Order: sequence, then structure tokens, then C-alpha cells
Amino acid sequence: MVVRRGGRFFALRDVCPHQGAPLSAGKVDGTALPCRPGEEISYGRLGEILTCPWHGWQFDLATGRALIEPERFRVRVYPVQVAGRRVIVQMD
Amino acid sequence: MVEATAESEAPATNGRKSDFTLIDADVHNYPDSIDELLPYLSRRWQAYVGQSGFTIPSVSIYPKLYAQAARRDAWPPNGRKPGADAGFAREQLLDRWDIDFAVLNPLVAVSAVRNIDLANALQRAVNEWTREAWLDADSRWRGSIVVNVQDADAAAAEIERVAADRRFVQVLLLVRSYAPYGRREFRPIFRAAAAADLPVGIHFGGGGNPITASGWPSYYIEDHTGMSQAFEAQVVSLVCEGVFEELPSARVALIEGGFAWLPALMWRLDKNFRGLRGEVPWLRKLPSEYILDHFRATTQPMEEPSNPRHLLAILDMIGREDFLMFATDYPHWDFDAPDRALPRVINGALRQRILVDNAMAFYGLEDS
Repeated sequence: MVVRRGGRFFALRDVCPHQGAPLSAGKVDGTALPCRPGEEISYGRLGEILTCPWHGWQFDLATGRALIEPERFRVRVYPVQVAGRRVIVQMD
Repeated sequence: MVEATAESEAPATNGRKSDFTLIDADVHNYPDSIDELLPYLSRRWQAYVGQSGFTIPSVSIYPKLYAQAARRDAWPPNGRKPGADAGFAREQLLDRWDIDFAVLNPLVAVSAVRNIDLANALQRAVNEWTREAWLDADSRWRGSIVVNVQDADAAAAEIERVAADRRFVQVLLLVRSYAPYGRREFRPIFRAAAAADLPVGIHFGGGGNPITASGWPSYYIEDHTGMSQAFEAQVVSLVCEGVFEELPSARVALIEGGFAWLPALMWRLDKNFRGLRGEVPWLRKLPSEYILDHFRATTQPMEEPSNPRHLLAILDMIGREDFLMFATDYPHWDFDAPDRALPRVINGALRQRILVDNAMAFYGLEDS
């Protein structure tokens, strides 16, 4: 799947590492930012977070790393180059 | 690890080798709105619903992860709600995963309707709707009989009426009841199910009391995680009140409640029984023996320990290879994918039992 946020493009494998959901049916938005217990919760990192359409796992769009246990779970990401009007995804 | 015993090596389907590949023991079908139930209500209730603006009750207190608690990709393109389009469910679930049979559990909370006569009319309407809109639409669907637990005699009559159609394979109750189901007021439901040779499925959800044993929590994560408390309460109640002594053929499926808690519950209950047997002297076996003889559980939401081998240890503690039945919970957000939910350490004959044989035997699907 390829995501465009403003002028940036991201290419990720369209398979959630948890149970295989199609991540392209998910949503790119933000996430509830860490805070202290009882503190007002703010929503941030807008446009940086991909949320799985099934179980709601969240991933960093740029690195593919899960927000929880990033060392264990990641979506494969592919390098993207923009050349004029063409977007080139390197998938080897 | 689970050892294969001579007994457990016997095929669960009476010696017949099954050609099936997957049974889904928990799928949800919904009417898109109350309008779809109107054809199955009498003139009196049609008029009542129309005049009052009555809508299908929800017992959900907490906002879910997603609307309708559904996978984001489960909304049919024709605009109907997730689980409300039999054709789309067939494509996205049955065809996609090559499912041989799927048990439908309609989560229309008729028991939450306090007008007891309307609740009785609705149980009948939901069952007729399931029959016509789903069971008649594809031969792979199997139905569950929805009942109004507030009126156990009416529920028993409904079970007797609907059970004549053998495509209905269980009686459906919701785990969060206003009182645990072992209590005598509910016994007509279990008697009717046993008389019809149908299991009772107790499913995630419901209401009637604060949703944890300690009262109301703040968050849906607590609601969802705490559901296993209610399952534990039902297991203890059904055993201690002697349901399985009165009804030796009674069978109960624990649906969407997990199973990793079961060994600890059995140990605790057996230990207490040694000193407290005098309260329940009709029990002639250890409580854990009734549990293992009469209960089965579905897999979803699959417990996911960091070390998947711990699941095998739990299954070894339960000690029955026929205990678990695979379920997806389609179309809900906590759907378990058939190819991914069971870790690879569950393999060979045990995997085949969980995916196919156990549900075939429990629901008698080989006879259908």
C-alpha cells in the first residue's frame, strides 16, 4: 500500500503482522499521546500513525514499527523515491 | 504438553473421516433495523413498535474501538450494517476462508427489553428472521435460538418450537445475566434444550448488573478484558446448582470468553468443594469433572501469550483435546483470522480437532 501525506509518500506491505489484516482498509491519523494517569489526554502525531482495520494495532507510518513492543512487531516498509510525476517503490 | 491418549486418538466424528476444513463456531448476523423484524411480529406489536419508535436495544455501555464493534472492512458496499447482509458475509467470511459451517449468534438483546411480552414476541421474530434471511440463504449457516431469559417458560416453549428445524444447533444466552444461569428460575431453559438435544451457548455480552464483579469500570478495555469474570460465574453456578445432575445430557459452549482461566477455576472450585460439599450435596463428582464433561469453549478472542507454547501448557492442564472450537467472531473488530489466530505450536491432530472435529461433534454437524 502507498500512502501520501502532503508531499511525502510511504510504501508498506499491506498485511498486518498480527493476523494478516489488509492495512489499506485501515486509517492514517494520529494517536493518543502518552501522559500521566488522570491527565487530559491529547491526540497527536497527526498523519504519522497507521491503525489496523481489525484489532486496532497502531504503527509508525515511516518505520513500520508498532507503537507497542516495536522491537517485536513491524510492518515491512519499502523505500520510496519521487521522480518528477512518478513515485518509485523499491520492493526487492 | 497435550498427550494423545488412546481415547483421544479416536476420531471425534464416530469413525467417519471428515472432509471438512473449517468450522466457525461464532458469527454474528444482525437485522439492519427493527423494520426487518416487523414481518415476524403480530399486528399488535407492529403497531406498538411503530407508535413508540422502539428500536433494537443495545446493552453496550462503552463506545467500542469501531462503529458497530465491527472490522472497518466489514461494512457492505450496499450501505447495510456489518453482519446485516447475508450475501456480503458469505463472500467475506464463508467463501474467503472456505468455511464448511458457521454458527450464527444473533446479538439482539431481547432479554434487555423490559416489556416482557414484547421480549417474548421479539425472540420469536428474531428466530424466524434468522431462518428466512440467513439459514434459507446458504446451507453453510447454522442458527442459534434466541430466547428471553426473563420468562423461562416462554423461552422453553420457543426452544421446543424452533428446535424442530435442525439447522438451529444451540440455544443462545448472553453471559452477563441478571442472575447466574444455574439458579432454578432458569432451569426450564436448560430442560428444554436438553429435551431437544441442543447445547446451550453462553456468549460474550449482556447486561443487567454492573459489568464487573466489583462494579462499573471506566473503560472499554476493562469491559472487554473483564468478560471472563462473568463466564467464571456462570460455570460455577451451573455446576454448583446441580444442573448436570438433573440433566446429564446438558452441554454448554462458552463462546468468546477465553479459556486460559479455566484450570485455575477448576483447582479453586475443587479445593472449596472438599470443605463446602454440604451446601451442594447433590454433586457426586468433583466440580472439575462436571466442567470437563459438560463444557466446551470457543477460541476467539485467542489468548496470545508472548510464548505460544504456554497455550499448550494451558491445554494440557485442561486435559481434553476436544475442548476448544475455532471461532472468528466475524464481523467484529476482534475477529480471529483462521490462518493466523492459532499459533503454529498447535499442530497436527490437535489443530484439526480445534478447527473442525470438535465443533462437528459438539453441534452434531455431521448429521446435517
